[in-house]
Amino acid sequence: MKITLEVASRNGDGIVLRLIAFNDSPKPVDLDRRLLVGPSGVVDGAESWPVSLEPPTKDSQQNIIRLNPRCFYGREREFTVTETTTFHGYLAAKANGFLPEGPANAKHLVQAAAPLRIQASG
Amino acid sequence: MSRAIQREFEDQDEQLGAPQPVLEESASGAVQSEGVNQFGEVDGSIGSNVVPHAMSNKGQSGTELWHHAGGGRGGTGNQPTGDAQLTAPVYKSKPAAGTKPAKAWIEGGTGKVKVVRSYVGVTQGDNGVYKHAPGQTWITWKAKWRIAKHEREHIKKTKELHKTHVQPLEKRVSKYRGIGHSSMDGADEAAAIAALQTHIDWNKSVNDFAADDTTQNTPMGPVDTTDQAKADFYFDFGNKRVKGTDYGHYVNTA
Repeated sequence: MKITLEVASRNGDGIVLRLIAFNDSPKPVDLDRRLLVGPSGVVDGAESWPVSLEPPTKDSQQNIIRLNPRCFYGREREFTVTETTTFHGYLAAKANGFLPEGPANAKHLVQAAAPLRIQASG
Repeated sequence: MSRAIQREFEDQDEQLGAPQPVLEESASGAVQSEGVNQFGEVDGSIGSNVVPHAMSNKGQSGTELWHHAGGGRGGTGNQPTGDAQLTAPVYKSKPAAGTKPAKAWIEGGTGKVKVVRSYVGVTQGDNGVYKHAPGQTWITWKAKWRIAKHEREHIKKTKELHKTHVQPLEKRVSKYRGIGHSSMDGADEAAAIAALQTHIDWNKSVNDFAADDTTQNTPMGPVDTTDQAKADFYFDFGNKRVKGTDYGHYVNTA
């Protein structure tokens, strides 16, 4: 599995980010979308913005998405960046506390996207 | 530990609409003191200009909109980190007489440290436009409660630091405060006062409290990151329609 964070578009301070989980393996992979965390912004020297997640479904099995080889699943979020902000995204192995940069227990990190550091447009 | 010492920490719990200034979280966390007494001991107030902020939302009726959305104070502390109101000790003395040494003590009503902490909760429901992205913000009851819990974590940490730094100081002071209490001996008055000052160690205690409180409760400091790492913290679950209105940021606990 490959996790990436990319800028989909930008218009001034407005920026659209996509967090992508890409199955680059030759076999199908089951992805729990509750464990795909981000994009989450952290302004330099300040508290982080609330961590981005998706709401879970009532039927927990519906949270599992089968990704065939060379297929991907992702999440798009729009932000307003008025100060230099670093965005993070990652896939965790367990839902047991999520910080912006990674799971509370580092052992639960499957893979993290390279952080995106975004400057304000002004 | 005396009850009098314990009373010096006032936990005001959630405070509604108090018109106190809230400083920007990005401000410097440097500890600042207001003044000193004749011996250079910190007097008046001490603190930083950093206000601890909540990472989630939970409050009670009459609170303000969330500071991440349409409000300025909802989910924030009312006092800067490190804040304490100080009345520095006033040292009194009398000269040596015959075989009796000089004595020093602390004037009644001085040598006091008052620490007050309170916070502003958030409202449940529509909290206005999200500050970090387009769209309205909806805060659930669970998230509102969790934000308040986070603010209480800041206060809990301050209480711990008060117990570590301030209560022992108050205990040392109270032993020598007022006529009829213990006094410190010295060859002369200056020596007695100096010995008592060394024993009280006022500046180190109050500065250590202010510095540790600032370090622990500053944004993304240990209190924030420890609490955010808990499984019951709140998150931005993105778009959701609530009561027929589309919200861009549905804030709820996991």
